Amino acid sequence: MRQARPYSGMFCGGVSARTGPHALPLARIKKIMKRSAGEAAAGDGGARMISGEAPVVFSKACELFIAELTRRAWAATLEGKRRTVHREDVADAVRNTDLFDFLVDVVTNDND
Amino acid sequence: MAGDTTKESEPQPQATQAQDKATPASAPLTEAEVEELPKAIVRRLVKDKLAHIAGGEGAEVIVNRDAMTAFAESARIFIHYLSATANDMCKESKRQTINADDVLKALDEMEFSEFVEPLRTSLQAFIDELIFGPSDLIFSCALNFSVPEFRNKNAGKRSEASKKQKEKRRKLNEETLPLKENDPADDAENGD
Repeated sequence: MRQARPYSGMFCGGVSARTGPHALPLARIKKIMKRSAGEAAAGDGGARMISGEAPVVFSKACELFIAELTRRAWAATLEGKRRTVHREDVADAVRNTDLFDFLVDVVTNDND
Repeated sequence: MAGDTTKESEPQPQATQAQDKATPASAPLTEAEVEELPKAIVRRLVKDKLAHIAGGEGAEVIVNRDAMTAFAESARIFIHYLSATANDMCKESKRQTINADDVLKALDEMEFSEFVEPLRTSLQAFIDELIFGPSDLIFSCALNFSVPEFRNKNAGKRSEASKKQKEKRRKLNEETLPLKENDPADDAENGD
């Protein structure tokens, strides 16, 4: 017999509490997660469920990621003695950071 | 606008929707676009970070449109990578529902360990707000009614008392919240 959980409704019904002024849309994140998980789990017997708080962590992780990428791209901009961040700066940031190896194909698609 | 997925039941500032509709790609979102984060939000995140680190140097920082696209694309790949890894973590623990721990473990796996602690803190704050509401005063009044502390703290240190109460409640509630365990309730969740 399931015990009463006063706030379970919030998690079951989808979390829509505000997560801050810059919050990424949880619904879209969830969609993306399901799509990726679905592809990966194709041989597994179906897409996975996603708990209520996972998109929240995701959203914040994305913010941190974008912040870090921005920081490094800006460093490249400064090196070029400019005030405008160009795509090449992002490419430099990716190239110079081991952590961003997974991005190497995404950004460096212009001639180097 | 057909297929415009900016109409979500998420609390988003009106500016976001307007901006999305005004983007050049105003046709129905393609398959790839639907997996992207709203450009307006990526833009805001980038600009805020730049304001932080470049602020105080006088002139405003400009971000090239191509660069902004690069940020958005990178974020999209990051999400895919994180999703797939979190899914693997979940599989390893033989559960059906991807939870916050899976995501955090995935970040470790991806060598983004530096994100883990800040994320834990954020998550806890989010949960606290969910349970106690932004106006913690109301709840702490209701919960603290018979606690002697309450009278003492009443004189100006309310937020501190409610924080302590929050901690107590949080520890109590951790047993009942369907957060960390694989719950039947999770399976009932349809994920929309």
